[in-house]
Amino acid sequence: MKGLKEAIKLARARRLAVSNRKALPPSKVHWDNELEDKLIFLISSLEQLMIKWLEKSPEERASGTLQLLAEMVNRTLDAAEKLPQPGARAYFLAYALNHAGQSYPLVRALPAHGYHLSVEMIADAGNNSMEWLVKSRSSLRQVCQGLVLALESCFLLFERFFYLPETKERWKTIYQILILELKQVVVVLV
Amino acid sequence: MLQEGVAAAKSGDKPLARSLLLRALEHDSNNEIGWQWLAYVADTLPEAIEYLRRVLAINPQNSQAQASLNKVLLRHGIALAKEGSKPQARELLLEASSLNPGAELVWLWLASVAERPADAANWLQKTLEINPNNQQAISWLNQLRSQNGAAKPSSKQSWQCPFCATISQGKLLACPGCRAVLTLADLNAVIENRQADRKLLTRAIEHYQNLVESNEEFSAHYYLGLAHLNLNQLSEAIAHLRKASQLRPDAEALKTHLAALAQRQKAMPETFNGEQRRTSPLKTILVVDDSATVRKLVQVILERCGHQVLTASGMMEALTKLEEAELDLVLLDICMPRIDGYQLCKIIKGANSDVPVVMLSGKDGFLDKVRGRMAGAVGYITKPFEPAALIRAVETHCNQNRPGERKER
Repeated sequence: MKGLKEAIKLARARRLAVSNRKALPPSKVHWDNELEDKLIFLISSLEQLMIKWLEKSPEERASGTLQLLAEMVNRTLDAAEKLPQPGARAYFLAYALNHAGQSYPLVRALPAHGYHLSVEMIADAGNNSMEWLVKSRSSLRQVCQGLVLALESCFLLFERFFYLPETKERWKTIYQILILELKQVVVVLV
Repeated sequence: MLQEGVAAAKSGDKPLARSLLLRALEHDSNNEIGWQWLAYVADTLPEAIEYLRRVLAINPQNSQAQASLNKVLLRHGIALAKEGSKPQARELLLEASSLNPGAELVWLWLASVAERPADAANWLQKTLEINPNNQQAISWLNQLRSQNGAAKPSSKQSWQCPFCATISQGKLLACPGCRAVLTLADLNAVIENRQADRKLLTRAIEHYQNLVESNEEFSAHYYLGLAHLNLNQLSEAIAHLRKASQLRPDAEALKTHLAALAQRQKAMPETFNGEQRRTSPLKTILVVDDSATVRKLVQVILERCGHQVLTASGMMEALTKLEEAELDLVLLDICMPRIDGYQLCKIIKGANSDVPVVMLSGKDGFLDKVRGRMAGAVGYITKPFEPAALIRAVETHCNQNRPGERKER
């Protein structure tokens, strides 16, 4: 059974890479470098988003945590859209919410539209059907942690698009640092 | 809308079902049942494949979707093979073989679209492992062996190139087919090899890369290292040879070759797909930033170009490293706790150091840049940054600081 699961996992990883192969430049090294450059810029942008948010007043920070995390997920989905696989954004969002939803089911209740999390609705949570989210601290914490996990799931999917083991490994070390920093921030502020 | 789509699918109105299901999934892209029904009413096989992949992305345990995906992959793979679209057929059939390695038909069709005779022989062998009486596979395999002549497995004299499958009598220093040097014994010959067939070697790299993805093997990493070395891709070669050495720690000769290669890496400029990746010799750069993410990003970008990167998260650590190491450049964040980058830049400059300082900041205002200049910085990089911009800035400012001009510290 374990062997079968491994085989399915490997097949899925290979499938993602294989399905894009037609659109790839001949050299996998070249592909890996280009993708890594794009993802480095993404991580740098997400880090700046986090820094700008940390510069805000404590009240603004507490209420905006969810918005920030949703925005981070959306930017990551935008980056996924640039992959040559058609419908990558939908695929990433479905995978991320499903993966995060297994540990934090409330994440599935977040409003999504056009393969994006609706940041505006989340920001205005107190005045709409999302009121439950801001009223309960434990719900808010759960959703925030779920969004960090969703972000990590997206990064994990990107990892599968690399061919070379060393590039996969390097990418993993990069995103894990950002995720660790985000987790610390969420624990302190929410 | 989902229920209406399913109802339309059940009634056989596929176009209506497709339209309704697609609209429903736009609002609920995580709906496993929706994607599965969409695969059922898909207009073409590639669409069905894509939708079933999504079902499995949502629920990898969905055995019905696994079986359906396997079936459509095989159908489409065979159709493509019949059309003569061998690479596409190969991709789909390989995927099908991963989902169900016990399917005899998949291996047989894979053999028919194999890129190299060695692959065809391998896949025919797998067919025979499942069904030893498959007459088609037996006769085909015999045919392949007779075509290769000296390639009979029993012949101890014959030898097959790991990159292009050319058969030769005994192992040669270089393959007559792809002209790759086939041993690390003479490192100069491999590194300076300009005759190797890049196309064949790139294909071989893809082949071995697929192998290591499914199974970490010494030989696959060794051949990957050798192939990269023949293509003058030193970093990749070292990475794979290191992995091979880890998998077989008793290979002493390999360790010796690795040490020699690491020394050469420092001495020679790295090439990247035949292009010069790094134009200046190795530099030592200190990154001072309180964000672990930024430190890691800068480190990855610059180490990929062959530079040595030291990191510091604050003033004390930065000053210690400045004292200990011979630096070519300091990349300095402006917003840090306790002391800001402007002040730290003044301290660095005041310590009788002419090491150039480049500011790295999320602040992109004109006044911020002027303040940086006034503190003694020679450059300014705005976050978020593109790797290319960082590399450009580093190479520009490192080259301004020639070794002869460096002051005694």
